[in-house]
Amino acid sequence: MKTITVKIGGNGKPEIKADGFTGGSCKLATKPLLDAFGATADNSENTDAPELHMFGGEDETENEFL
Amino acid sequence: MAAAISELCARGIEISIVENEKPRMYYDNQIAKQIQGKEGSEDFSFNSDPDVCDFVVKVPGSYYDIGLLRNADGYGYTPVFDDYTGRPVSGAQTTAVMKGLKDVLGNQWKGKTQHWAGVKNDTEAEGSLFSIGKFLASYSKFTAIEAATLAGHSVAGCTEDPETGEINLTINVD
Repeated sequence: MKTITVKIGGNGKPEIKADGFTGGSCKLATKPLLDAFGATADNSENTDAPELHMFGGEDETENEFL
Repeated sequence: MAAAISELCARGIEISIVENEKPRMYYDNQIAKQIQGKEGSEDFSFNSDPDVCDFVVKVPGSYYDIGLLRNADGYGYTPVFDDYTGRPVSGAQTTAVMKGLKDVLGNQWKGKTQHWAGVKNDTEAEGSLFSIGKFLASYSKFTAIEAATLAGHSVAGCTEDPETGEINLTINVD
């Protein structure tokens, strides 16, 4: 099961976690959400950006984006 | 945005939002005068008329408003308002029963305020769960739901912690 969890802090700040994805499918699935929250392609150095984490997947590795 | 407002109104938080207006503060040009160019102003992205905010929160019973200043990083908005509770500026719409924002909201407000010396950080204890936090969280929730639905994902569940206000949205992806 591929799931995305959006945790929204009491101040409205979103944190996005993806579980069960492999490879680039994670970024593809979460891109609409990042776009909706105002993320841009070059936000990798933006520490205030919504956080995106990926867990699980076939290789059971844990990756972190952004 | 409309969904977030409706949700708050259903909970008894009677606010309304208008777009592209100047929030009422002590000075008619208070954002340009007291925020733009001052310490902390780099956190915001101002309109050509810096006093015009994309969104303005109207709080019943108060003679001032809350402006939502666009964050410079592009992620959402920061609420700013004048916490002055003395007499409103001459000419401001007011009645005998209207009060300053702090008097209306009391501790039920969390956010940046603007007064004489620039922007001050949170007016109440960090982590407080109150009106503006609820509004911003609710806005984020509906933004996520809309984006997920448009992408063809399905929203499987949504929970909210009544103590912290934290919302957890679970989205299934085929």
